[in-house]
Amino acid sequence: MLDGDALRGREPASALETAVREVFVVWREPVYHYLILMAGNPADAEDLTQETFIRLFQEVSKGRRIDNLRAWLFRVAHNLAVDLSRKPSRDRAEAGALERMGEQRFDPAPDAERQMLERERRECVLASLSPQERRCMELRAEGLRYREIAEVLGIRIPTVQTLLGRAVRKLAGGTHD
Amino acid sequence: MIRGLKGWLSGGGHLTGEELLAYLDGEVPARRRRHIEQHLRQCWACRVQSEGIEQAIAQFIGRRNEQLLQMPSPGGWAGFEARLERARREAASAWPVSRWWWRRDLRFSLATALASAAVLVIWLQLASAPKASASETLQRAVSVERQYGARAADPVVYQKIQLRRRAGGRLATASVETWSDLARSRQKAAGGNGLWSELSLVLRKNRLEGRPLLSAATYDAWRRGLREKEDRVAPARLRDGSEGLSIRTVSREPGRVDAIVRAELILRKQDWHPVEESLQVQGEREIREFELTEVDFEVTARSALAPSIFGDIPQPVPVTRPVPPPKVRVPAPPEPVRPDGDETELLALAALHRMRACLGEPVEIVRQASGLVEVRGLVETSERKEQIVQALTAVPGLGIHIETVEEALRESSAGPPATAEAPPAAAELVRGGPVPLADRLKKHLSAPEITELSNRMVSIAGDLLMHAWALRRLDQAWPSERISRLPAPSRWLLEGMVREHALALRENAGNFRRALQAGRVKLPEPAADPAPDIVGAAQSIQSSTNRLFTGSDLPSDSADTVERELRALAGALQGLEAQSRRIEALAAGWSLAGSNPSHSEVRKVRQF
Repeated sequence: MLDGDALRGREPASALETAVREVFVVWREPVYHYLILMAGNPADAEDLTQETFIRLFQEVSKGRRIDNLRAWLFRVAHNLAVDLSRKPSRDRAEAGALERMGEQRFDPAPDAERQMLERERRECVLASLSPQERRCMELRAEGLRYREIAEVLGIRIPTVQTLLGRAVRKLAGGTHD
Repeated sequence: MIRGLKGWLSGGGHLTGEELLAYLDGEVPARRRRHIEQHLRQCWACRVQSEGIEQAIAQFIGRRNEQLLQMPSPGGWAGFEARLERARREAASAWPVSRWWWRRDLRFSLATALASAAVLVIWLQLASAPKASASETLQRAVSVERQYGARAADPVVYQKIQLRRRAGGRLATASVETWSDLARSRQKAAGGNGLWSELSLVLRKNRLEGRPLLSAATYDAWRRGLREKEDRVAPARLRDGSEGLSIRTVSREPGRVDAIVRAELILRKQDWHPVEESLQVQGEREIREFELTEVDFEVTARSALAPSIFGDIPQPVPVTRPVPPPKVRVPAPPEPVRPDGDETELLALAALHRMRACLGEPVEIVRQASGLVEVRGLVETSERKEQIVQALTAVPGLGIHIETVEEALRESSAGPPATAEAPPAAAELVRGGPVPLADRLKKHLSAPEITELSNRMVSIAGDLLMHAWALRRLDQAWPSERISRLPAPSRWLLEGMVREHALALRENAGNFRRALQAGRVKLPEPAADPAPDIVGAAQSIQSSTNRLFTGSDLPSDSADTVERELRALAGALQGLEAQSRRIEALAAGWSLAGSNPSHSEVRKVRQF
């Protein structure tokens, strides 16, 4: 549990800042992976990853208690991504050239047709998953336990179990729901 | 269709797919778990179904990894330090706010509301600012810089710059003063230590040597040298809260080593003067990021400087400024408050961990009778000493006593510091002698390939042992009672270090297995008795590796002895992988369990 109160008296500056920096180094890649697969945009994913850790610093500075760091980080990242997806696309288009750069880097080869076919093949399988099933699978792939996934997505643990079970069945080629 | 999944929800006493998945994920209670294990031993159908689930997961992970590989890596995490710095200042300034707020001081509340309104107005103005191209913006800033020459004959630009460099998660800072003779394209610098040398090399390799730092003209010269690039201009907020403009440029060319591949220049909107810059530089394996922040700036006539200019460093005599810009002064950071001893110790430990000084280097953390935490160590070179000292200086309230071997020899009484339990020296590499596995290996590999493989195996086994010892030392230094007293951020640090060592162990174990496969060496079923702990497992791997690949203590290529060693190796590898997973789960538990991690839970997996 995060002892914001304990830190208050001592001013958070040095110890907390260093701790957040270290936490950032350890957890930024998993959070970035989740976000880039969810948001699909490298610039957004990087920005939201950084924002997640800045929020961590801000919340602890205010004395917020965080019971489960990993679940908290993914929940904040998830919520930030959801908020971003709700923004009008016009606003996001203005995010500029860096985003487009990311997209170009995603598909830079002249052999675009081959890549497209490959992506279609891959996405065909993954597309059979509902967004919630996909998110459960992504979070599980990052090592989160069922109760953490439930906390991140704001659902019940049995629901997580059902969603994961259904997703695995679809991936295995069973009946699609 | 993966076999075995047709009967996903089959009846007849079989397990459901969901239940099997939860079992495989370790998510069923212990009692139910025993029941499932018993059922799986009896039921072929459910065993096959369980394998099908594993295959489906493997397929998902494979596709996911493919996707991630095709996506760009993050762009060096530019800007995180600046954002954290801003957040820290906001947090620091918020302390009195919250205290006043609780006293219900209405005047302060009103001031806060007005400040928020002002911020909103500024934000709205910035948001509605017309957008300009990077070329236009730079041209305007360059034209301002050209006025230096018009205002002072033979101008010399004096700059004091705060340098930060991030690479591989490590942060280094320094301050440098430079004098740039614009007419002769030459430059003199003072301070900055190794960081300035590093940046100078980068500037030279990008043909920017002798030019002022943090300059629109210098930025423009680099930018124009790129054949393919992308730019973005956006409003920015400066550290002092005033308005700015950010120009970001990304090179679309293949990045050679030391090339600047991405840069950002932040101009003060009031006078188009550059005040911050970020340069991302391609390294051998990672991106290095340099952040430059202007602390002081003057334009000086060369004739007004001492004759020894560019010999001894003179103090500049300010003559003129391009526009009367408000001088940018980086506000002094608030005085850090010293954390308590355990926190200091963990911060020092994290800094050493980041420098990989926790992997057998004779550097230790000691607590003096006065309570002062001190890092003592003996390192091989002065460069290494500088690296470690620089990493440790960020830790408040820490004593640092690091010596090079040369320094220690000069003081006759000095010797390497004693460590609690020093790891054994790494085994020597193979130099082409016969290896007991030779008969098997030479069917597929040439003699040099066998030597190369043997060296690789010995090297990986050494790495495994170093990480296992690092975990053992953490275990000894941080018993569960001590962890339970730590505030959460300190537990995160500890968790992060444990997690990274555990991951490194598994990665190395995977590399070890793959290297064996490359040599077509098949591991037999593991021996029944697993190694007692993680260091025992790593030692066992190293001993077997040495016997198999260097021939020590294994006189002949007797099929029996080789088979016995391979069996021991398989058991130790399996034990090590399982232990590292358990340790990682335990470390996650420190965060999960909150401020009072269950001691019984912790004890279950103590003894790394």
